Amino acid sequence: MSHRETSLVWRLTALILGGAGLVLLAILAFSHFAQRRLILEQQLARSDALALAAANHIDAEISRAEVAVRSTATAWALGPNNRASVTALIEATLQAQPQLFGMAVAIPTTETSTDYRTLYGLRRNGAVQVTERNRPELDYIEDWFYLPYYLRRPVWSEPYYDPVAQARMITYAVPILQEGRVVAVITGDLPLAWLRQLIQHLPLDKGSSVVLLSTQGIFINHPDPKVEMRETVFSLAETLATPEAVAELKSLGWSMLRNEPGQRFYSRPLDGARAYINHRPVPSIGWAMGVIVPEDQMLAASRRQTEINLIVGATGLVLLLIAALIVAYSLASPLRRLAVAANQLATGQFDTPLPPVRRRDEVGRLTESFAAMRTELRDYIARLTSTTAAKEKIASELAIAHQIQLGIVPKLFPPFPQRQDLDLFACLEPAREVGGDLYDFALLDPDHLYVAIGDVSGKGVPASLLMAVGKTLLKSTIQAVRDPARALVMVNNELSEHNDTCMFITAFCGVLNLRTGDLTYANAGHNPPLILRASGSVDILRSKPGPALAAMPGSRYISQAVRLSGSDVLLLYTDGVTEAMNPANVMFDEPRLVDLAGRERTQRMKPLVEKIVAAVHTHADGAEQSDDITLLAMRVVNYPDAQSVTPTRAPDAELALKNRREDLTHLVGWLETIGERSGWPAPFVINLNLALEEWFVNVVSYAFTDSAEHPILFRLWHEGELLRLEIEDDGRPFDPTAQALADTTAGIDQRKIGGLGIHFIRRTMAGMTYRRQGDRNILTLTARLSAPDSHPLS
Amino acid sequence: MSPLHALLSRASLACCGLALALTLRAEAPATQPPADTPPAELKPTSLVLLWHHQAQFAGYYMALERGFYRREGLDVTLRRGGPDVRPADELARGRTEFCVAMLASALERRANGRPLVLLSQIVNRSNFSLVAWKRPPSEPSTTIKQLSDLDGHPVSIWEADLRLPYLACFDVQKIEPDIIPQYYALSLFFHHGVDACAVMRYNEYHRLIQHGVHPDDIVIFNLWEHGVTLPEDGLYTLERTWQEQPEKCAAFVKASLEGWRYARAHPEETLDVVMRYVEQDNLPTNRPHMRWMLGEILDSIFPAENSPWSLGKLSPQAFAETLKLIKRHSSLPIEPTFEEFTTPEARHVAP
Repeated sequence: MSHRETSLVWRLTALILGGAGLVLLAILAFSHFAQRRLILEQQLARSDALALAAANHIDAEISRAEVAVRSTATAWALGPNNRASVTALIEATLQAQPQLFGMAVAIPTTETSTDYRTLYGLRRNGAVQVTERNRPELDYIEDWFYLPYYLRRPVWSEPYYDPVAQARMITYAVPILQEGRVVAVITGDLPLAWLRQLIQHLPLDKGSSVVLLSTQGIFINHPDPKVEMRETVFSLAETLATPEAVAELKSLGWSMLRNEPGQRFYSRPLDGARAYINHRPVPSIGWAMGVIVPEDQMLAASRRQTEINLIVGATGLVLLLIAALIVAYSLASPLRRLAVAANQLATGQFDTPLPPVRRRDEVGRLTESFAAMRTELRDYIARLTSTTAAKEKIASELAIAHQIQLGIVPKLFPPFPQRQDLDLFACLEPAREVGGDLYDFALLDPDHLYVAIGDVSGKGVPASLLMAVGKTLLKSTIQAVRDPARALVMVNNELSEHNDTCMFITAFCGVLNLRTGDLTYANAGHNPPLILRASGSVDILRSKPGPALAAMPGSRYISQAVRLSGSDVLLLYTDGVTEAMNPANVMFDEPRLVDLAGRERTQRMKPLVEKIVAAVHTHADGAEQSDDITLLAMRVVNYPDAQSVTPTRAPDAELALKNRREDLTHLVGWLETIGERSGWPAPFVINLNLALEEWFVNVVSYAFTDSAEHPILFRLWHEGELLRLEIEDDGRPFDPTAQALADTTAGIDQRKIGGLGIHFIRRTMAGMTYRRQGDRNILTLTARLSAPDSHPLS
Repeated sequence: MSPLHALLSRASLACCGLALALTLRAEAPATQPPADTPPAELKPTSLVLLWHHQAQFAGYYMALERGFYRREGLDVTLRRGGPDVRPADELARGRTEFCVAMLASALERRANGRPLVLLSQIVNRSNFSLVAWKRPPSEPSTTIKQLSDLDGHPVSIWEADLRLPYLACFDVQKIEPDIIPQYYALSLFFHHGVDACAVMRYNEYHRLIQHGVHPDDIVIFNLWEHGVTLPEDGLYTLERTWQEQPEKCAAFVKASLEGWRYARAHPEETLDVVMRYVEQDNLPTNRPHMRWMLGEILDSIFPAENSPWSLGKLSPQAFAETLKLIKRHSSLPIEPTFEEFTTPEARHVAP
């Protein structure tokens, strides 16, 4: 059980029990005190009645004895006063009064007219015996004579122990007065056995006791036999510990000895316990009788009743406890199970069973709500799971599409390592979502480079699929037809035929003649590329763009051309560059691109592109990239067959030779000398040597039809990394460059040079161009002095 | 303060005095059991007490109980007195060697030729008192406030020598109450048959209180405060006995006095012993009463600071006064002298 749940059960139970318990206690207390008072009153009344009855009974007995003696006294006074008749009187009285033990007639010494002094009768062995005594000096000093004689009235003696009778006795003495003097004293002895009997037979409760005080306060009867006949109330009081106790008991004693009836509580000398005494006088003799009931006993009945009440109450409380526990558990148990179910629910087990609804109370309603919540939760999570799965599916598909997109475009840079003159770099930074940008390039043949850039509308997998199809189609078409416009037409028709979507591709594609620098291009709704001229200006290749591809079939496209010079940079981009927005919704825009590209023109292509990309990101300033950033930059160092006249300067070295085979050594020496001076690497010199040798021999052998002496001129220019060599002869026209092409200029009947030789020249030289100027053949060879990545001659 | 407390405080005062006396005498400590090898042979002897067993004779009980008599070589038998036993008679008849007697009655006997001698004057101050109802039954409209108010009133007084102090007192007060004989009980007074009665302060007075007489209802007159200071209890023996066995007498006196000292120092233990004698004889008395009696009697035995007597000794002045009193109310054949009446040890010699 969790700690919380315990406290609910116990709290509830404790509250119920506490409340009920308090009420019960209050009732018990009230009834206890009420019935206590009642019982007390009852007990007091009872002991009252008892005391009264007992006192009256004793009184009756005493009175009877008094009457007996008095009547004897009367009889004596009336009868003859002599030994015989008085003896007879005594005998008769004792016979008639069985309660009397003895009787005496005593004549005071002052009376001399009688023949006896003292006659005393008593019972002995069942008979009455009367004896005469004449010892007044001994007898008459006793109280039984002395008191009535001086008091001149009847008087009871104090109780005393008679050794003859072996009993406790009291004696009633009646003086007979004649002529103002006491002439006789008649006594009767009353044993007190009946008294003990009477007291013993009183219907007292256990613990109650009776005390009987003589007129002088001696205990005639006391529960403690040692006290009887020896102690008085006051002598007992003297043994008490505290002055208050002494005063209390003495006060009680005086009240009793004054023969006052009374009831009061007092502390028993015996043990200090509180007791109730009800005292009444025995009027005839002046004794005081008290019935003592210990307070405990008086209240015993009350206490018993209260005890019973307590037991009943306690039982009731126990039952109530059980009931309360049951109720509390019936509340707490479903709550506990709901809590357990909730915990299980939290771990995702939606099939956790809930406690059954027993009744339609708050707990039942809670359980129902819980069940409803569980169902809702289950469904919601199911929906969430499927949605999440769907999204994940889409995301994974998008990721795949992304991979496809990135995989399609060529990524290997530098793409043409063997072409030292061609520096090309492209990059595609996709947006978060898969976009549809593409770029492409390929060498259609050694002299023609195909570049393309495109942007598919829309996003996602369809866009990237369209992009993949488009790119592949365009490349294969261009390889076949070589004309950008025609390719676009064909691709457009193909794409738009199967395109049920509203997607389209903007595209720019161009074919660059690597010899002449002529760029033929066509634009299908795409951003116009930039040409960063070597002179420093930036041309925007505005064109008459056609519609985007795949929009509708039958669209027309026009090819246009532009001449690139050496070191010009062709920069293709998509609108992901120019339309990149910063948080303030300001676009990167064309002018900024133009400006940046122009400044970075002299860079190699990779840094150039990277710089532009970085600038776009900087501009975006953390705003989300909404479109792919695609750039393609390309530069050709030199177009060998460029027809634009670049003013040539004077050659750095010249050599004039005759068409004599022996002049070859001069050529070799000339080259070696220059080579040494310029620090050409040896392999370079060797190859150059071989190439020039080959041509020289070729010219010497076949250029002349007569045997005259002809000049063959060699001119050499250092142009940075390039070495330009012109070989001029006035032989028959011969264009070695036409050999490779299916050229119709091959009408001239020429001796076929060993293809190997021309091939060798072509292979080792960076460029080879020919022109016929007047009657002169001018072969221009360009050789690259250093190749960064791979030496063609190595 | 309850009478008990007053009693005890007086007893403790007495104890201090005793302690002082004891230090001078270097007595053995109380808790010491009867030690010292008693003499090989114990001389048997007896002592008759003046009345029934009560605390009035505590010293003798303790002397016996604590073995003081034995230590002195005496095997003492204690016998009670009472209405049927006259100690002086027993002494005269040779039924006892020692007895306790009142000075006045002993003197009277001596004057009548009985050869007894005083060995030690134990009780040196009178204990006689008169208790009167404030409202005298004979004249309920009047009030008794002083002794002289009892003139003409019925007063119960003991008989014989016990009457002497009262007669002397009445002489001094110049009153003539109506004297009624009083015997062994105060029932007549209880029954309002007399206006006043004679009491021993150490006995009857307390009995009155114990029997329910309210102290507010009575007034007590102590005779020694009204000019009568007769010594009472003393130890007596026949002259012959003293002449023949002076050591025995001296031993007896010594042990007895020691018994009294012990009683004074150990009241509760003494009371235990007294109650034993009381209960043995089935006497109608109780411990608080014995306690009262013991305290009062000790006060009249042991001198206080300003008391004119010394322990156990009779002064010639007291002797003379007593004799004068006796002579007042009865004729004496001979007049005993102080020297012949008392043993040297019993004489108080003025410093």
